[in-house]
Amino acid sequence: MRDARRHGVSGIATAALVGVLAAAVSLPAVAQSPAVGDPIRIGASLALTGDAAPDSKLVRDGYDFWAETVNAGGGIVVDGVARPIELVIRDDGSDRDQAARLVENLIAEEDVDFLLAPWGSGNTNAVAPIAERYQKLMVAPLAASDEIWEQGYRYLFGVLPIGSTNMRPLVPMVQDLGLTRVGVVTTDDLFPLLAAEGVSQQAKDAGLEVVVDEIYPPGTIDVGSLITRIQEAAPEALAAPVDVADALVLLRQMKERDYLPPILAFSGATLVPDFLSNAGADAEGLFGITYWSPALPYADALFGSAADYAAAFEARFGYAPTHDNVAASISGYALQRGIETAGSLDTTAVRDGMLSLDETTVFGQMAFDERGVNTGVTTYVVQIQDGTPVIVSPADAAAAAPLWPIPGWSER
Amino acid sequence: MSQAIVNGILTGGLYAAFGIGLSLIYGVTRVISAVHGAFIVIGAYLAQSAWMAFGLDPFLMVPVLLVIGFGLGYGVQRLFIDKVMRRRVVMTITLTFGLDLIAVTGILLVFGADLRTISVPYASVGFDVLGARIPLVRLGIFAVAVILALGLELILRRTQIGTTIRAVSQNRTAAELLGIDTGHAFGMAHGLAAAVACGAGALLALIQPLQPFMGLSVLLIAFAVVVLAGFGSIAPVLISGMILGLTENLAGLYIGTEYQRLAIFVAYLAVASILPAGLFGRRFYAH
Repeated sequence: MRDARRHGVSGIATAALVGVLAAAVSLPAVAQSPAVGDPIRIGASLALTGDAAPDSKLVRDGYDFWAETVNAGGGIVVDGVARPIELVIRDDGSDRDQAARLVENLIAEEDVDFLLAPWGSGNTNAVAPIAERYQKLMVAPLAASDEIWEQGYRYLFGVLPIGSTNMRPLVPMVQDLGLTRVGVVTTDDLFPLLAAEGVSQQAKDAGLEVVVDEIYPPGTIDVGSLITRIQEAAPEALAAPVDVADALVLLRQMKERDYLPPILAFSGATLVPDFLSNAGADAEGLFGITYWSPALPYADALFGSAADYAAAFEARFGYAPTHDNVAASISGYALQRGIETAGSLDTTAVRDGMLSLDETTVFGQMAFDERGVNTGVTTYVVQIQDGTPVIVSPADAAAAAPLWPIPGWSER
Repeated sequence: MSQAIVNGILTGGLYAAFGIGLSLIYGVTRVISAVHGAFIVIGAYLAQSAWMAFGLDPFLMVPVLLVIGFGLGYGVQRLFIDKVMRRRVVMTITLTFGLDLIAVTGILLVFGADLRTISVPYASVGFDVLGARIPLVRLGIFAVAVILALGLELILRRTQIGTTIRAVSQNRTAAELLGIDTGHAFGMAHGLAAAVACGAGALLALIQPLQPFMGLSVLLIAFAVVVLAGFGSIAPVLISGMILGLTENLAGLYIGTEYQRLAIFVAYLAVASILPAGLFGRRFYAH
């Protein structure tokens, strides 16, 4: 009996083996799929822990989603060989020096083919010189600081528009609403300062009065004196391009003081899941800035439509994607399109390939100028209405009208 | 102006609560404890977890945290710091800094890196007094911080263990000759210090989003408070906390918000270089 069972098992195993071999032999002939080659190794240092972790997680998920989507389709075809993506991600603990060391290590020791950048301008600025020194192509999802793109980096590309333009679309919206008094407050950090200067300048150029213009240290526990200054200036619209943690502190302490400007706009923070889950109902009515929404009529060959991207992403990660996620995925996709256009992994060829791109993706238009900046992206103002972010400006893309003033704390 | 003064005093109470334990530990054991910020952050995370799991108000969590903090502080003192206390100061700093790294990594493993906040239903409740807004939450934080400070003072002045701690801090050798278990006394001192730190953590969780690495900035504030007060006494620590809170808020209002944190450390440096014993002179618990 035992022997019979053993024979039975081995018999099945033999049959299966024969089948697999037959399939392996016949498959290339039938499907004409390219041979599977070695993976393309793409390195990144991300802040998986520390201050920048909430933002960096969005980037990581965006990278993973791109790599998984590509690999599900077999990989990137280079010279007739389908090569899967292998992401090599290291945790820099939100320490920029550590990020620089890790990137050097990724290039010199781990032998990666290309690099994707960390979250944020400051971190990208810290690692870009290393990539430049080793002549490795690096694509940055969220490095919008103007200065980075004035350094003349040859091997750095970025998928976002430059930062000083970030909050500018707020100005025409405020004008359309007939408001004249605006305020700008921000933390003393690379991107926040640029976005603040940009919107402040734009407001002045448009003839609006900038009644309060303040900078404060990131991570401040007590923003009481800042709120006093804002209250005294009484802006009708306040722009605050600060990160998620600082946005939560500012919002919380405004609530303690029972104060809220008629319009309060953070930048991308308004849409970050970590912000929305922590702010809860307090986020209602807040304005924010985004480069992307699943409702926009964008599409590409890899992800399908913007709505498809959103649905597949949410199914995979359990939360609705923000523009940070998409920017990260598109950074990978930009590299992919560069490689496909070049037909090789040679850095110079891929760089030329990326510079020649001018096409639509789920993130909007993608076309890089000589600095490596994507000049195709449009910026939108969103507002949290009934718990959901909706585009409220510019008018031609708006899904709803901006609601203001934001209901006060006692009216909720 | 009145708003800045109210803010400064209310926040200063919390800053004092950060500093009190550090001051006690140094006053009694002569150890500069870099792990103190971690006790505060642990308290904050536990308060946030209790809030998430049971909806327990952070103010009600304070007594629980006092007990937990006491156990942690006593354990850290007896298990680790005791071993190096008579060594050079660099040894104790290295040890406590190492413990801090372990604590932060532990927090990260247990709680993850996501931001965590507590949003109590009375967050927007407050009173208007003389043109200044006094948020109920801030008033509560201030009151609990002061109660913690006064409670610590009472324990040190009026109880047997307080007397023992003061005796040990005054003259360790003499205390040992009298048969006092100095290791236990040091453990009790560190336990009391960590208890207040853990309790203060619940207060911090009410105003700041929690991140595993936030301990360092809290520790810096605690150091500034203690340097201003002079190591080793409690009432000056309370006053120093408020002076720093006021400095921060008035600088923010009149000089500019970008200088408010700088103002704290300028005050710290000024006092440390001009009055190295602190604003209130050198006065230890024993005196």
